[in-house]
Amino acid sequence: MKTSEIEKAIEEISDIVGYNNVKTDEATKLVYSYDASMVRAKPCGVININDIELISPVVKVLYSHSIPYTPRLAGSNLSGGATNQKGGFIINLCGCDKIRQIDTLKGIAVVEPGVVNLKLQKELEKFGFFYPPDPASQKVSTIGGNIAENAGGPQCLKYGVTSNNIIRLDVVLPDGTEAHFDLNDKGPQIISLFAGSEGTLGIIKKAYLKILPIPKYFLTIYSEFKTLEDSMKAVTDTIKKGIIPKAMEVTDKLSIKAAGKEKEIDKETEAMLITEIDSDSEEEIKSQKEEIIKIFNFNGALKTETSCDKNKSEELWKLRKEAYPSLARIANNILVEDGCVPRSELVSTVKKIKRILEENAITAGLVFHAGDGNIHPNIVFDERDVKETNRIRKAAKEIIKEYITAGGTISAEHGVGVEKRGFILLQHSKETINLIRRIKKEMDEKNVSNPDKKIPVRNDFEKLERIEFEISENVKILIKEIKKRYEEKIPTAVTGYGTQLKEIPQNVEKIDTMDLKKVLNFDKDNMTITAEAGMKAKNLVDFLKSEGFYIPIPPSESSLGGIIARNDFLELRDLILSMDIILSNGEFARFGGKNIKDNSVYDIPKLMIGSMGSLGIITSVSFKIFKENRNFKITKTKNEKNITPVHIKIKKAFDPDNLFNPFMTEELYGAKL
Amino acid sequence: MKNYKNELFTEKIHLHELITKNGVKNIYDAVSQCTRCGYCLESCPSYVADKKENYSPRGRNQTIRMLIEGKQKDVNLAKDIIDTCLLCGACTNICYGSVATPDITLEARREERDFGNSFIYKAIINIRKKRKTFDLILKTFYIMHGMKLDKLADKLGMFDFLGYPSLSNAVKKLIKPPKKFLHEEINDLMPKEAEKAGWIYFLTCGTDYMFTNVGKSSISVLKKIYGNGIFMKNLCCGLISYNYGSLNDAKEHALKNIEIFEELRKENPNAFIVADCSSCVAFMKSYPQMFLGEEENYKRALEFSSKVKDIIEVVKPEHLSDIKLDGLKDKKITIHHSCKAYNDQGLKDEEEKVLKPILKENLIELNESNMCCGGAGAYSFTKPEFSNKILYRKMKNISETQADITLVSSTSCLMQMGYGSKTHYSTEVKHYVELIDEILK
Ligand SMILES: Cc1cc2nc3c(=O)[nH]c(=O)nc-3n(C[C@H](O)[C@H](O)[C@H](O)COP(=O)(O)OP(=O)(O)OC[C@H]3O[C@@H](n4cnc5c(N)ncnc54)[C@H](O)[C@@H]3O)c2cc1C
Ligand code: SF4
Ligand code: SF4
Repeated sequence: MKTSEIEKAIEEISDIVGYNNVKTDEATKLVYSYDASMVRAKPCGVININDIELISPVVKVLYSHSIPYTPRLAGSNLSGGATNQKGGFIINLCGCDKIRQIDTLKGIAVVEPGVVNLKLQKELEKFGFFYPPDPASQKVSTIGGNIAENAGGPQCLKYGVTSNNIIRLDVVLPDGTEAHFDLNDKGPQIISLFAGSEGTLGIIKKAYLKILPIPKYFLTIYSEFKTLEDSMKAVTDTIKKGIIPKAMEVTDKLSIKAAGKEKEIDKETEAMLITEIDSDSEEEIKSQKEEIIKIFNFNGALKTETSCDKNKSEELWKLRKEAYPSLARIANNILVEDGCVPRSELVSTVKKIKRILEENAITAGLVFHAGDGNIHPNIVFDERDVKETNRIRKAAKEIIKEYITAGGTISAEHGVGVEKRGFILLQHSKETINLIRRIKKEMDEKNVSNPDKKIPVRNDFEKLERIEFEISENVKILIKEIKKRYEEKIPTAVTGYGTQLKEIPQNVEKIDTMDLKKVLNFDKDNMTITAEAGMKAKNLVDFLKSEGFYIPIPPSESSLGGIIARNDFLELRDLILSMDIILSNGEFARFGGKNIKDNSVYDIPKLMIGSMGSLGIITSVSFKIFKENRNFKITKTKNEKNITPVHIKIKKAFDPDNLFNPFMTEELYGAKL
Repeated sequence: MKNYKNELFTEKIHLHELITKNGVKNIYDAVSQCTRCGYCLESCPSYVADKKENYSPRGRNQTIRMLIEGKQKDVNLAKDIIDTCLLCGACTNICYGSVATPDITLEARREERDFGNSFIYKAIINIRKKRKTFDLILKTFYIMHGMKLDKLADKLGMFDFLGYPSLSNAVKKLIKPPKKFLHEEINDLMPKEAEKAGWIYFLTCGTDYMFTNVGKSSISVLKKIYGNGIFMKNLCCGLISYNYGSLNDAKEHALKNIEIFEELRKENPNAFIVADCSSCVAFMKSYPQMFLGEEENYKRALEFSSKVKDIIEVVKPEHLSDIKLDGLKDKKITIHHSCKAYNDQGLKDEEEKVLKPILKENLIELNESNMCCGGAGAYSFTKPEFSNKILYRKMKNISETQADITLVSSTSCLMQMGYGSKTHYSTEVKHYVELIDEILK
């Protein structure tokens, strides 16, 4: 980056935002050289934007001078996402903090990125509504930051993470062009790409969020267990029973000890579980309460206490909420090595983590969003002690490896940023990573929008052996066939059950997934099922029914792949956890596993929704399942045409030779390849 | 971690160690406890006023840490960051690690080129040592105020010269300057018997020179509740010197006050010290911090500070039981928690506990009740732009309660919000003890 370019850009940007809002003094640069992580990098300046309409003009200037920039909000992310590694600009958007609209009839709130999560909650409360994502940082973290990191919180167990609670995003793309993306858009679900994209694909300018009426009744259940295992088992048993509490949070004895609250718990207690249920029906609360207590007792609960009084409930939450603060009082630094594993692997993974901590003589409290399989070892240390820090780093890496080998993920809700980008190489295959890189490359040709985040910069692919599904013989056959066609550049029509693609041109050869119809994995403890994409929806529903489970997908003759490719209904995206895909060059890319939360790479499984076979062949999908039909909604997707400049770029990233369903390219992507 | 990377914060002008909620720590250890989590941001009045990291507690802590570590070379380059802190303590109060940001920031401020060295500051300290001269100067200003000459004086920068914290704004903001200072008539107000006093009244400068009615109310309330008491004939608590000038001078004031107390205690062994400005009270409660490492004086300061009480904590609900309200019946009342009571002293709901049973639904909860009003001693004078933004936010919150009366407990808030009630939203700003006095009458 040339100084003269920066100087020119400053001139131009000052004309847009005012001289006062472009800061290049040393003191300012230094206070924008960190976020809540351990990462430090000094920017060349800070641009303060207080009006969302100015984001695009400013970004256009930066792009034209090829100057890297990093959007920043509260700077509370724990992975280094809000620092600029390339000595470019920080764009401070905290001043864009207006709530534009609250529409309780439609269940939508429209906000600017800088609106603080808790502030929105307080406004919504006045109308008896709430916005589900509730990160522990909600007092400061913003909606923009929450979307960029796909933040979660305790009540995401029932209501989903941030991604599950967005409806539409207005975005300024890396080159400054504006676009909006909606769940109802026709074609691939590009909006899903932005949740968790950490500012690498553009800047969120305005967000349309899902809001819900606050349930009339709630109940908090506090319980103590003799072992961590017992408490985890109580969690999985509850979920297995079909009860989906709003929150299920486990805290281990170490955290309680650190809080100096050992005396407040039973001598034998090793773990504390706090559960919260909510409903509009008092009856349901009552029956769930009875059932939960039964389950807890069965799992050896030493003590349970319940309350539906707000103040009393706060008391019950206190020990859980003290877990982090108490560590902050004794330590200078806390490393939260956020990760997620399938719930069925939770107990064994925790055992391994404890061993690692012990071996490395590390003090850490363990807290879990247990219902989600999300683990948070809170490791205390002093970053001024280099030796200690290195020891912590080493142990943290070992913990991360345990997440991965258990089939889990390196990031559940705290993003990847700089801190974890290297770990991607351990979790994902070269094919997966290369696809991610191509998406970034296409969308941000000059690599200016928050560069060097989220995506590994090194190339030493070293994916670990991990618990995952084998690639079936049938898939291998498909891969071989696609590879052959790729070499010969033969276009392919990707069909499900052949029912949906009408006019396939002569020169295009069909391929279908009819032979892919097996259930690959059925995990009752984890409440997930992984099925091949050619399986009929009806068969999946029937299979689950025979096992006493339920999935809210209409039992049609359509293949699962087809339902996804067509984006039949809006709620489908909330069920999808992971996906395997064959790309048009024959590469096999896997995204996620059986994890309830996964923020390691861009959310490709959701992007594939609505892609009509034009991006890749979906070979298998993992879904969340349930115990019974709990009045799930099925809303038909409107499939409204909204083609943006991003569309064709996505197509290029996946299928640069236009080999998959080429006859749809113009319709879906608005351009020819 | 004892090793400083450079010379900063090691010279005489500083406190070397702080008493934090996590024990005694040197400045480097104290500031390194900031994990950069950012949790404090939205609680900080200067941050919410401008939404920039520069004005956040985290920004201040990190700047100071980088100064100590030599990554930031010159404190004067970060003056804006350091000087915009109101020292209100809201951040410490919300921070998981209770990082002592205001104390740390103040120590950094002492490092600035012009800190405490200005001719003006020195002049005042000297004049103030001669009470009669000081009285005379101030009275002259009050007369000028009456004759509206203060506006002219302001233009001429004369208040700057006087340098009493906030005086320029103060006089602008002063609604009704008293004719007599409280120390001139206090003897007539005190209980006549001087034996076995239950309380010792500490007269703060704000009460003495500006809000004499507050002092009168305090004395009247204390007499009713605690009977016999005496006037301490104290010196200024030293907060002005501590915050704006010389640490040594502050210590001198403290020691002098401690001495006076020790003398009085001989006759009145059970008496507590009580004052009606939460800022001064909070400072006196923190006297021991200044004497860390000085064994004897530290002990004396500890003893002294353990006896200091804020007027808002000595009025208890039982003192007002079976009260019938007449005059206040239709008035809506709200409470602004002065930061120095709420954040520093941890007095979070003393007023509510007393007033809720009698005022019932007429006592309205104030949003962000403990966020600073922007007064903060000389802040409204040195950082008028910030101060006004912060005041605006406060008055907006008050306007949402539609309160007729707003209660505060520090003279700085009285001045600032009194001004706000003229310029932003009309509410009668009163010291809590004035209302209690009224009720007890
Ligand atoms: C004490 C503490 C507790 C936490 N608890 C939780 C928790 O329970 N759950 C959880 O999920 N996280 C938690 N976090 C992490 C953090 O709060 C979240 O990641 C949060 O979403 C970050 O929001 P922010 O406003 O601070 O964003 P920032 O940190 O400022 O930015 C986050 C990322 O978003 C990018 N970005 C900023 N603005 C935009 C924009 N307009 N468009 C696109 N990208 C943008 C930035 O470049 C950066 O990569 C916690 C953090 C702390 C310190
Ligand atoms: S002062 Fe406390 S709350 Fe603020 S950033 Fe530092 S550690 Fe976090
Ligand atoms: S003391 Fe007050 S103004 Fe200063 S950093 Fe803390 S909250 Fe902000």
